[in-house]
Amino acid sequence: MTESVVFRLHQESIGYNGQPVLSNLSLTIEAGERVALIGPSGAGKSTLLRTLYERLPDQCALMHQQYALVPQLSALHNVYMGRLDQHPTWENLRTLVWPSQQIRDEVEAVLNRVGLQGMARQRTRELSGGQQQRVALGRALYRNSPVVLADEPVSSVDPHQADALLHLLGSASPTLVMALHSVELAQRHATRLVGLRDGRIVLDAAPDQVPPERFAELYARPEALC
Amino acid sequence: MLKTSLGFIGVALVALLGADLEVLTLDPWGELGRMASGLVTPDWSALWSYRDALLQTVVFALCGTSLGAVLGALLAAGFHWAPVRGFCALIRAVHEIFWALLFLPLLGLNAVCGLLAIAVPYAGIFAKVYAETIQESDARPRDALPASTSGLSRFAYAVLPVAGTDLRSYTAYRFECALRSSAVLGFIGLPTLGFHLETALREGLYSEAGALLLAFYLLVGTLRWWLRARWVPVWVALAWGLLPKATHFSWENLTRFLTWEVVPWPLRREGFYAGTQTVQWDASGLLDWVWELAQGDVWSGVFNTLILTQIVLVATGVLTLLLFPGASHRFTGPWGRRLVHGGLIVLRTTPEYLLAYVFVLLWGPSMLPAIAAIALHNGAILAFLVSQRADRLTLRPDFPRRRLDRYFYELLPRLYGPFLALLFYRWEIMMRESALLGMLGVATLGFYIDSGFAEEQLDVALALLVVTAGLNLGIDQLSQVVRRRLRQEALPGAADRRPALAEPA
Repeated sequence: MTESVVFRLHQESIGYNGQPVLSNLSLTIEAGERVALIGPSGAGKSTLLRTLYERLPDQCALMHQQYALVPQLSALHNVYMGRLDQHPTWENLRTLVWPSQQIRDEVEAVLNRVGLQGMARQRTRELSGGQQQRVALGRALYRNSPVVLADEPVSSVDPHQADALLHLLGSASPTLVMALHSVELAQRHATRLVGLRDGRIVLDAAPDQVPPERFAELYARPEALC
Repeated sequence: MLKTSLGFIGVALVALLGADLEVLTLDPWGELGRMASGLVTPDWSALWSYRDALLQTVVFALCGTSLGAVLGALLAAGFHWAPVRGFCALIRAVHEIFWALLFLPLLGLNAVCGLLAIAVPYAGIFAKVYAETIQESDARPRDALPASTSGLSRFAYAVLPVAGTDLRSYTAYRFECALRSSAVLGFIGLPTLGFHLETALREGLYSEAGALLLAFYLLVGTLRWWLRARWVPVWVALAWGLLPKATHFSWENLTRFLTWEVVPWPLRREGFYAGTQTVQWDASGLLDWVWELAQGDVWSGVFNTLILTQIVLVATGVLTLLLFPGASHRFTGPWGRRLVHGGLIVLRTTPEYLLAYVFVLLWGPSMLPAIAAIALHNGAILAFLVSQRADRLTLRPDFPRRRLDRYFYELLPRLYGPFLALLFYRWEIMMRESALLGMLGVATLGFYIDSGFAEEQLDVALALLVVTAGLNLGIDQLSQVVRRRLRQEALPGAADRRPALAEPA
């Protein structure tokens, strides 16, 4: 095993209630890679992300869709939550009531980067879907971990914003694994595409080495069901 | 569902044979007329002299709820632990008034007694509801926190903010209940509204009683204006400041209570006559005592409590099914609905104990007043909840035009399942009330508990309280089995635990 390997799954099978979600899956991810997981819904992308997360929980920032935010708390607190494990509990409690100047400065810098200037005090439930995803991204950036795992990080923003946000996400950490619903976005922002179908890897290549018909195959409806 | 319903109706009909439903007074209608005229000609001038009682009613409710909430929150933290769950079930199985009767000989007739009588059972209820609310709240924010975040940070950032609204509104609903509990505690002598209400009713001063009752409705009806979230800390602090501090508590008292007064009489007999107050083990004497109690008070009390509970369960169900169309826009126009809603709010705001007290004045102490009081109070709450569900249903556009067709073909079949779940959810509450109303003369468990305390037979009273709590836990378990059999959710959701009638839409 080389120094640069971050994740190594070997013939991994994972299932819920006896139903296999991932079957015999092998995957190695090295530091510095930007991996996009693509494939139809239900293919096992979220399960794969969660499996990777459980391998290295302390070195990862896990970015869900916006559902992982606490809607009742401010943008500042939601971003700060990325580092709850790096502060003692009493400081976390104090920050909830009265954040220190230093924390406010740090978080506001992150909010500026994701385009939420001056919104630190807004409750996240008052923000739009796109703004909420920016907050979630801010939390991943603030966590400053060696690996970011992201599940549909730009599902509720328009294509133009999606490019900007994924660009930022790329700068958040050396290694990035993200599940994306759009092949075009994946081609533009990943260095490696991994296509999943029925819990198996059916495609694994650099974006420019995949012929277009392979994508059609990946997303094709199973004929037996027609 | 039909079989279960018919089974319960059958049981209730058999129970009716054993129930004493006699009207014992000579002129119930005339008395009702005098009461009604008292309610419409309230003597507001009397209210000024009762201002202290009104204030104390609010003070007890505020202090009792806040203490109960704090204790309940602490207990909720250990709710995954079976002994804690059992302890909470036990303390909430005993009605506030019984707690007050139990604390009376310990603490004397004072504010601390009233405070604890509310806070102790409420702590058990809060613990259960808080723990369940947190369990049912959205877990996704929790899962997304960094893996090694400390438990307290996790709680403060991703649990409390998410579940906070539900926790707050349930606590507010409980405060409304506490106002009722607090008022009713006056009936056993605490300086709240019930004390003067009882006097006024007993002496036939119905205009005074009317003013007191209307003042109470006003107090509850205006809750949402004066109980603003940001004012709560101020109100609570003020209430604790105003709570009378005088109490007769002494360790000596407590020790004597626990090691002497509640010890079964046969074990005390010799020590009592010798004047040494020592406890002497006497197995056969104890057995005789238990046997005698079981044959006498316990048998009669349990029998009558169960008869009353089963009659009331069915009566409440029938009343709910009759009343809910009046509160639903599927059946009733805006004005009629407003009228029915008003009636439901009054019935639910009036404490069932007070309702029963009034009915006893009208009809004398048979089972009739208790049935009417419990069924009206619970029926009003359920009718409102069921009408809300009726309003939320989407019906096909060509639904039957005639109301009876609509009721029997569209709404009743759809609502019957949730209706039964809600009804059985309150089964245990109805049993607790059935036991309690024995205090007014029906021979349910409360009657024997009350006489036990009155005759200073604390051993008997405590044994009967334990039986009552056990019966309540049994009904609670049974209700869960029935609800599971009906394939309803084991527990109604958060909104059903908080049947707030006056909730903003």
